Amino acid sequence: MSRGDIVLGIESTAHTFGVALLRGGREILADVRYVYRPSRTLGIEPREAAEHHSRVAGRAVKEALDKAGISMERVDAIAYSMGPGLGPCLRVGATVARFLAIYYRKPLYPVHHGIGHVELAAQFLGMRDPLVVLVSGGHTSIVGFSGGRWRVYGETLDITLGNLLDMFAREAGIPFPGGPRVEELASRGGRYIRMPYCVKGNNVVYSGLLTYATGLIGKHRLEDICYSLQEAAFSSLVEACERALVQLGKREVALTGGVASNNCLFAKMKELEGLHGVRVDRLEKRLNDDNGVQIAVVGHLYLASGADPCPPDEAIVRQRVRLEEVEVPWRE
Amino acid sequence: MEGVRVDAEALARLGRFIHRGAESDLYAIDFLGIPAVLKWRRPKPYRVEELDAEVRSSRTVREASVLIRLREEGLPVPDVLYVSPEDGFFVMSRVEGKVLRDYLLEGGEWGWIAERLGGVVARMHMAGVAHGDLTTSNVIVCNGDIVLIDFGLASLTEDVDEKAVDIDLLYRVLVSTHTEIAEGFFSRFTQAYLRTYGPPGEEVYKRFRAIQAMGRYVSREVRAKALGLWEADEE
Repeated sequence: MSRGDIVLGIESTAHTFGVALLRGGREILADVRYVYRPSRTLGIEPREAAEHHSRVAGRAVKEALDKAGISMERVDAIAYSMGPGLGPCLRVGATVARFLAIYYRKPLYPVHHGIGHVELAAQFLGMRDPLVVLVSGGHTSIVGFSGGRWRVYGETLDITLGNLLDMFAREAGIPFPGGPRVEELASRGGRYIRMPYCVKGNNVVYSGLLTYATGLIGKHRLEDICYSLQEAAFSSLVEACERALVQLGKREVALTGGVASNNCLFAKMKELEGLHGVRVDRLEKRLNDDNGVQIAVVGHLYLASGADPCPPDEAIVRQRVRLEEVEVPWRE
Repeated sequence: MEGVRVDAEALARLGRFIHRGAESDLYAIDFLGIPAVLKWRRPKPYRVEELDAEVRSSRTVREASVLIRLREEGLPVPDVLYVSPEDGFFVMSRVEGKVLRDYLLEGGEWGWIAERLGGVVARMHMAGVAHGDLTTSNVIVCNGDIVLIDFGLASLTEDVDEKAVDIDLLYRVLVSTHTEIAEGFFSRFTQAYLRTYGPPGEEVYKRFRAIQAMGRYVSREVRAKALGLWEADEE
């Protein structure tokens, strides 16, 4: 392959509408994003977000093509985020993808959003068989590849890490998205306040921690609450990850998803290197957030593996779809 | 004369390193003439000191208490010989054998193990103990029997959920690590479990089915079927 196939990837599971063009599964020709910001501080309003996505969709596709300096004819396949996510948002991306696939007669691939995060990290970090820790508003999962699928070896039994930080932030009057601000406050805290700490097998439980930490607002310095909340939440996740790592005997750990950009979490994950002689890494912040590249990368993997494209009239969205439901024809 | 303090580091030095687990290191030692194992929860660099000390000491105490309770019930688990909560270690009798995970991966005969494990787990649950980390790495096959080990995440509980989580984790590990025999093994395990436990066991099994349906992004249809609560509706 001299230049490689070009895949157009569309992401629209939640707040980000992203369009990317990726060559040969590796070279980012364009990575355009429009991020919906809630008008109030309460978090994503699905219909409002979908309206935002419909407004920017056409512009985003054109901008991506212009940036890459190519026309639609040069594109080899279209990939879109099929779920899990917010229905109204997902439908915008799928509609645009179906239109492009039909009008320009391109093969179409529906992509699981979480697998997008997982494969982007694995491919771009050059990890062959990693344990992937996916932490975002939608997922807190410890996944590894086995028996033809990405399987979940551990996960949150209630809310996600992204939920925990955002919901705590909301209660503390910190605007959405609260995660980065909680991290900043935590970095100025340092007194550990005893918190619930719950690991069950390879799983974590966060709702008790949220309730407890929320109840402390106003009784302690916010910096110390943020610090302690992060300590308890991240340590339990690293412990769950360590358990899965030892159980599976993997040699690499990739941290990905929006919360992967948290430096405190990454530093804790990094400790696994010294403890178990494994490699722990993450992508740059931009690629941890939701984006079109993660969708395009999986589109490329489908295309390169010779998988049958999806007929446009069967290209639906699914608000709920688990990672391990998706067959992965491009590995092993 | 100074009091004698048994120190994990010193005991470990006298023994032979066996295994580094996720949360603890194991050493084979000779404890007052008894072949024993030292289980030492070393401090974790990713936890702040206060949290780390709390986690290590409370788990050490809990694990030892659980083992004692199960021995009293006559279940196949190691004997506790010495406990030191503040240093995060305890000493128990040594079990020589093969880890079930390796035994299965090497193609060992598993029918009788599935049966026996089902019975033992049922009796453990009947004794009010949930293991908390019931994987094939925590079962030792030895002398034609099995021994359950690593009760580090165990709890003394009558909570149906906690017991169901045991079944769930075992099932997940079977599917992921022992894919070929998973269904056969699990079905024999379940039969023995239900036979031993009776009606309360049925409740645990029902909860296990519900937990499977509770993970994130399970489709409504699958969830509804598993819970038997409502007819599947359109998404």
